[in-house]
Amino acid sequence: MSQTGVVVGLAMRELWISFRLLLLLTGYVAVGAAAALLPASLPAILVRLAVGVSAAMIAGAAIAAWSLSLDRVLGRAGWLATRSISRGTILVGWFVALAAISVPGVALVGLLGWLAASTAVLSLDPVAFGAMFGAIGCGSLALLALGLLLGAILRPLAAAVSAAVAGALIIAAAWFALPRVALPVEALVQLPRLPAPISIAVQGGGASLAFAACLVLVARAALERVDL
Amino acid sequence: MPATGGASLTSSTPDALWSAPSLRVLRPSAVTCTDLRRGRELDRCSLSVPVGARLLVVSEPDTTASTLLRVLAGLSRADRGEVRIAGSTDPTATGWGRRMAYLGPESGLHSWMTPLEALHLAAWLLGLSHDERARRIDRALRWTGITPAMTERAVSRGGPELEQRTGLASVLIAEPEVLLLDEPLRAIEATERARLLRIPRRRLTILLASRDPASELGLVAHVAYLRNGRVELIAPVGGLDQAGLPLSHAGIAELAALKAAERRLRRAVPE
Repeated sequence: MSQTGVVVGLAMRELWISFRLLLLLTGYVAVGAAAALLPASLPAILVRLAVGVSAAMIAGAAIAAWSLSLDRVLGRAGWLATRSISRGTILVGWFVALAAISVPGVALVGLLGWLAASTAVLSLDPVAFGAMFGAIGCGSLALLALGLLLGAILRPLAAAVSAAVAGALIIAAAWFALPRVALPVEALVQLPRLPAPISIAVQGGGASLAFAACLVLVARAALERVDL
Repeated sequence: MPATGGASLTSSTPDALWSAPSLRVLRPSAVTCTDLRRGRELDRCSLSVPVGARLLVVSEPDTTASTLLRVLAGLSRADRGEVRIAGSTDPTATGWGRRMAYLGPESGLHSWMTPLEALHLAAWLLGLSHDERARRIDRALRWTGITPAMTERAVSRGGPELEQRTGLASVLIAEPEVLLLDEPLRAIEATERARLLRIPRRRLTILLASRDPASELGLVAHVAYLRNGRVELIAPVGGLDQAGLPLSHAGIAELAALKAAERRLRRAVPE
């Protein structure tokens, strides 16, 4: 097993034992279940899915921030660092562990959402719907990276609160203030009306991944400077 | 032991250097830091500690000693300056990463880990063979007094004492050349704590940061006093006895003041 694998394993077990894994997964399942079980029109289902998955992604960012910050404050990251595990490996390990929960969570919401949407009167292109949820999954990675960045520099509570606020602001700003920006969750609401949904999903997913990569790099630079 | 950095016997092949009988007599430097700066805590702090030394680090303010050890361990970053441990400036596993170990006031272990899990993980990260891993774990468990019944219990259920014993065991597994102890094992009863920290290895260099110097009696041979981020005194513990001072924060500060006055006097009186 690689050093990254060790950090991923420790992070997953920590998330499991502290119920944070359950909390995050429950958030995603609740969103999907709410969309699938409560009857509504297709536009209402899509709005419900978009708002719900955004909330779950914001919760993911807060959990990421809390987790990394707690690891630093309690000296667990330091325990690994003094055993020749680089700070970058610790960050990547946490990112992979959180992504391994968030991405299946988004996929689950997509599946439940599709079950709800496919029974509605209006028909949806399954490929476009899947592509849009793929893009939303990429967006969840960007928010996790944002949470890890804040977790690398702030104390746990401050990190979690600021990650939630920053995540909400980013989504709200892109959704309401910048209507031409193809934010995946915003595009999901407009899915039946979009002329080229797959291209918008790919564009949104790519932008999210690029944003996530930048944030991980900044988080790594920040983690290199802070006390463990 | 020089009070400031400067001449230090180091080599790019420290093992070869240290095993040479002639140089063993000269006691090469195990830890050297030169002109370390970090905010207001460290101000051009220089220190050279020979191999095998057991040095108590006391400071004014109290946090400076911990900061120095954390910088040496790579847990805190210095703004400037150089750290050289076991002859290397490279903190990675191929440099001094595996020659140095740090034990702080918190063990840094996950509370759900059992002592055995923590030790197996620590041993695995060292890349030890199966047999060597088993040998070192067994030895560390025996030294730290962790009984077989305790090894399968989560450290959180064993209380802070088990957690700190496990923390020490996970450090000893590495068989480090330099051991940095920052307020270690405070949850353990004083006599047992002293036994645990009296680690019998001749070449082992120990730097022990403490806010309660009296509790370290018998564990250290030298004492360093840092004030305003700089090393103001390095002296044998016996120097305190000779001056009729106790091994306490005030006693060490007074000895530092006496030595400073002596130096001033020597400079003022022409030879």
